[in-house]
Amino acid sequence: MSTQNLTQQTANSMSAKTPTIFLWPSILGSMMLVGLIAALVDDGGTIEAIALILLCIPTLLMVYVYALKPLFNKSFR
Amino acid sequence: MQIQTIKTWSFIHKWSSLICTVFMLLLCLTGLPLIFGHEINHMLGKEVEPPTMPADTPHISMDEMLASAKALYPARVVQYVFSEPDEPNSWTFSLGKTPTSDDDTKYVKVDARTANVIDEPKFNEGFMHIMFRLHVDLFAGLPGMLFLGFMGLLLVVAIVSGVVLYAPFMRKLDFAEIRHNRAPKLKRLDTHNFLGVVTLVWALVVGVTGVINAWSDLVIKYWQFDQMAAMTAPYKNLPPPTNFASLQASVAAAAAREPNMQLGFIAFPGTDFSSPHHYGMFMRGDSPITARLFKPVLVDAQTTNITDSRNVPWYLATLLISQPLHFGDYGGLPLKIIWLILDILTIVVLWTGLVLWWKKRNQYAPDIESRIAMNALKA
Repeated sequence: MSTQNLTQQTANSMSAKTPTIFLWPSILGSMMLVGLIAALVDDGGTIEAIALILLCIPTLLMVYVYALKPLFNKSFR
Repeated sequence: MQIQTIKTWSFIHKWSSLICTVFMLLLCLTGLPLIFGHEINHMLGKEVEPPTMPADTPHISMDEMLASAKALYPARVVQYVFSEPDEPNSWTFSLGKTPTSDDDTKYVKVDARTANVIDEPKFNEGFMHIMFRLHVDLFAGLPGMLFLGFMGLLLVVAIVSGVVLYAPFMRKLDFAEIRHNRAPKLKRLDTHNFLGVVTLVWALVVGVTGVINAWSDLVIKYWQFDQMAAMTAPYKNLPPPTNFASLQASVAAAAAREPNMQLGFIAFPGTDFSSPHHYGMFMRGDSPITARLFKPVLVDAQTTNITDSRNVPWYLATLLISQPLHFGDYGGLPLKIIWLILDILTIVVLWTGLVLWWKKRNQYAPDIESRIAMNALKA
């Protein structure tokens, strides 16, 4: 099989996987967008509180990925 | 996705990022103190609050406050009067050499309950002013603003191309997987991809609204040409008035016209936001959105009659709504902290991207086609 065919096959397989690759980024992105807009329409109410929680989720995820997850991996290894 | 397509997007991502990265780092760094501008000014003692008095203390006449401000600089002309939404007990008067001059402007903050002068804030000097100018126009005025706007546009291109390239680079990794135990460059790449995709929406919103804000001077000029000129057209050829009616009566007339709105700022006759014959009363609502959407009410400066009032057109509304989404100042301290974190994460994305390019540029780097082929052989 030529390199060109191989690379094209690989490229095709990437396209096939794209929807799952973007699943979590889409969910997080939607949360953030809803949070940004919801905080704009409410002032000090429940909607604003929910909006701020939605905006905090990506930050909490980063705390998990960079601080907690490596810690767990070490503990269970 | 075709190989050539990936190579094209890779080229777009690399060069759009490289060109704007230094300026984006500058904007992110100068943006950090600006998020907390209010708090920093308080800490530095640059914002003096009115003294505590019973909550129901009535406000005195605007005319008395005007007299207090003018008494300090009798040779100067009052240009604007404004107040912060969260500080209704004080008004700040700006006084210039002429109604339209913007050099050596003096500011006088007056207590709305006693007409005492509280402070003479210096908005045009100090640390926060330097941060602001670096962030807005690089001390270069309109060309600086437009240049930074163009850099913002490149950031948007870099983000979009980054999203396109995210799939090929992440196809063998789980979401949020950081290869801590692999080579530093892989960890750096994973960090860049992960933080980049998580902060994507925020960076896109702040980037796009920043580009819109870069056009603010031109948008306002167009509004003056398009709307303000039409609103003041009947007075165009009349001689300027020599006697002015009470400012308080003019404010009351505007408030009666828009009873559900608050006064945001007043443009005095002859300034860029009024005409020689009018007080421009700019009214605002009380929600985070409507507090930004100023509605001009023009009051005849001699008779206090309302001569025109109209909602802002779509282009100015877009600019005004884009401002809170850029500044992050519409959700109190919690939102400011979130803005701070996302700003720092964006700095990390920019920095890791820059380091990835820097480390790679002198090394042997197989082109993307060869890398994909090698990956496929390994699989």
